[in-house]
Amino acid sequence: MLSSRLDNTIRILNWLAAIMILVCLALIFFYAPTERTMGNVQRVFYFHVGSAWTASVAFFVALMSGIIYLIRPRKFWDMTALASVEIGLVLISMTIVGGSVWGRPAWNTWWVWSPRLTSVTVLWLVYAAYFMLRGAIEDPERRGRFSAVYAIASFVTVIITYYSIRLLRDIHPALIGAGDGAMGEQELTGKMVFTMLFSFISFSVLYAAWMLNRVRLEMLSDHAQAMKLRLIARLRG
Amino acid sequence: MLLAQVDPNVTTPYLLLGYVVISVIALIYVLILVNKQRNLKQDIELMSQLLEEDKEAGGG
Repeated sequence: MLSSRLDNTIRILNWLAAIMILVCLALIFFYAPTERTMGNVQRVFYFHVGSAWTASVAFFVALMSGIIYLIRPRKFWDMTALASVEIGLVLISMTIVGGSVWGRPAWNTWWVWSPRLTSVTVLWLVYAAYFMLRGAIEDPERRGRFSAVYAIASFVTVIITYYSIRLLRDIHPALIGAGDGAMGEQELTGKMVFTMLFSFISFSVLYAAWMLNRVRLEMLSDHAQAMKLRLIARLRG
Repeated sequence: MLLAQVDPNVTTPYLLLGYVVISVIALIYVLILVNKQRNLKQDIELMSQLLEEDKEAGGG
């Protein structure tokens, strides 16, 4: 049964995430300086990178949950992996769309099939297919095992996406440790770095809030399913 | 990357569009979660009632 302590924790985390995102927006629009070459649109950077970073964390959590599930097949780890992939997919969608809007004035195009953008598209498709895989398997234990293996293998797309701008020439800028192939490295002032770090933390709290909400939803769903079976048994019996 | 000096306000519409679409995606996801939770809680409440009624009918 779901505890009221969990509900209270989720409620507090929801409020904390909402407040932190609002403070982050205030920092983005009123504290961070305007970037000199791209103008105001560069402020999309803070949510673009924040969501990308948190999506990577989410997919890593899914990978770890998958590994743990294969070692100890408990439903909780399957739920965690499912929730994490789902949230990761939402976050990476935010990254892609935000980046596209930013790209229009910066690169004079909404989209370009550069290594980074191509690899992140592949990443999105691979993780979207995770849900198709789950939908195709009825047996819960088998579904958990296959999903776990898939979540582990899928993480390679995150690694490829991260290194794509460091190994190949790309119009997409590198934030950290630009390789020879990157056409430009972001130069950030102190205020920009602070805002970026605050964005990372805000998105991490948001991820934690969404995770707890999503896992609770799975637990509720399980509870409803169990009640359904009891009801059917009673009505038959 | 194009490195041209621009009037910062020229790109402001894209800034706003960017945050609007990001927010819409997040909002849609939150609404989906809220809706699913509400439906599940309603289902659980209904089934609890039915189980209770069936229990009383069985005892009576």
